[in-house]
Amino acid sequence: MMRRALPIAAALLAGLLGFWLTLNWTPGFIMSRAMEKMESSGAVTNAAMHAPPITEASRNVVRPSPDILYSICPFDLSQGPLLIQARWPRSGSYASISVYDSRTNNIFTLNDRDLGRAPAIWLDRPDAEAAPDGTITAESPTEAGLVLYRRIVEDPSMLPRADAERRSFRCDAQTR
Amino acid sequence: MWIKTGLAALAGLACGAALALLLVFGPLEIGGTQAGPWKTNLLIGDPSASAVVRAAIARRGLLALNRSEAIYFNATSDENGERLREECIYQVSFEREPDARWWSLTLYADDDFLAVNGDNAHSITAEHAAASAEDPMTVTIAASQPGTPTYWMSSHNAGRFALTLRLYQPDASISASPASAALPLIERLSCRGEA
Repeated sequence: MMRRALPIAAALLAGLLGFWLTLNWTPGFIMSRAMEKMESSGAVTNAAMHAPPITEASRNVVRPSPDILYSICPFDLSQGPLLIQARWPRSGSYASISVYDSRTNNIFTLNDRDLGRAPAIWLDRPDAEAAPDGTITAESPTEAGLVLYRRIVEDPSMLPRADAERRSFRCDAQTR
Repeated sequence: MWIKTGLAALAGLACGAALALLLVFGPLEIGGTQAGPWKTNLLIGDPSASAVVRAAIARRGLLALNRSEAIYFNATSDENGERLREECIYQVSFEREPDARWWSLTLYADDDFLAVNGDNAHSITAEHAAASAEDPMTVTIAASQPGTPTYWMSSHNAGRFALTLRLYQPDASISASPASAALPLIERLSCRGEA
């Protein structure tokens, strides 16, 4: 009896383990693949890249919106925090800055209505030193991740202005 | 016996991993709350989401915002539960506009990207509704542009496609109860090869 039960039990337990491990590994894997694609499109760690408007040729991230301009900043906090800055659209259009950890969690978001003035976000590891005055603190549980700036373009005629405005988005590595 | 047990464990491990990959890279949708053909999951972007939900979101909605900022409704079937496909013509009717600061409806091909068709008719937004003289506003989804003047989303070269309705800064009532949102109806009008 034991001779038959043991292999079956081992197979079932190992099956559950394999299922669970794979599911937990998948988000990080997909995120790293997406970041590799972005880097091959010119994105540099701790620097902003203003992606071209989304078209049917866009293939870096699934289900992109053709009505939104995206700027990205892959980050690495191993050497120090990151200062993220931007100006919000003057037209009142929606814009936001969101931070994702390397496991795809949306750990921070700030939009134009949350804060009237131009935002300055200090992104660092948890329990790091205090952020400078005048900055908003964001903490990432992982050293690496991605900052994403979104700007809705309500009408194609607004694209040149929206594109110029979103280029105020920047991120700069800071020293501890 | 130990060799047999070890081999069984290895086989189990491989089967478990294969099943997970099949689920995530196969038919698994983000799922969650359902209202007609529309589905959403309030755990999008949330670290407390289960492993299955997180994997599905990474696969189908990477870099989505969490529910305090945006809610994403996805549909892969019409009101009768039939799979959305390129060979059919659909009418999408907005009885009421979604209650959000801004919204858009986008069609994605079966590879989860915009359909490669040169039609530049991938989405409809709140601005279209504001300019529409129709009440309710209707949108035709078809592989070729309809003859009658109407808002059109092209399903040409989209295969078995999906629709995503994005609500940015939705009303609090939608965040609390997504099923109560005013979501558009998706009705199939006809299909190629059918009488």
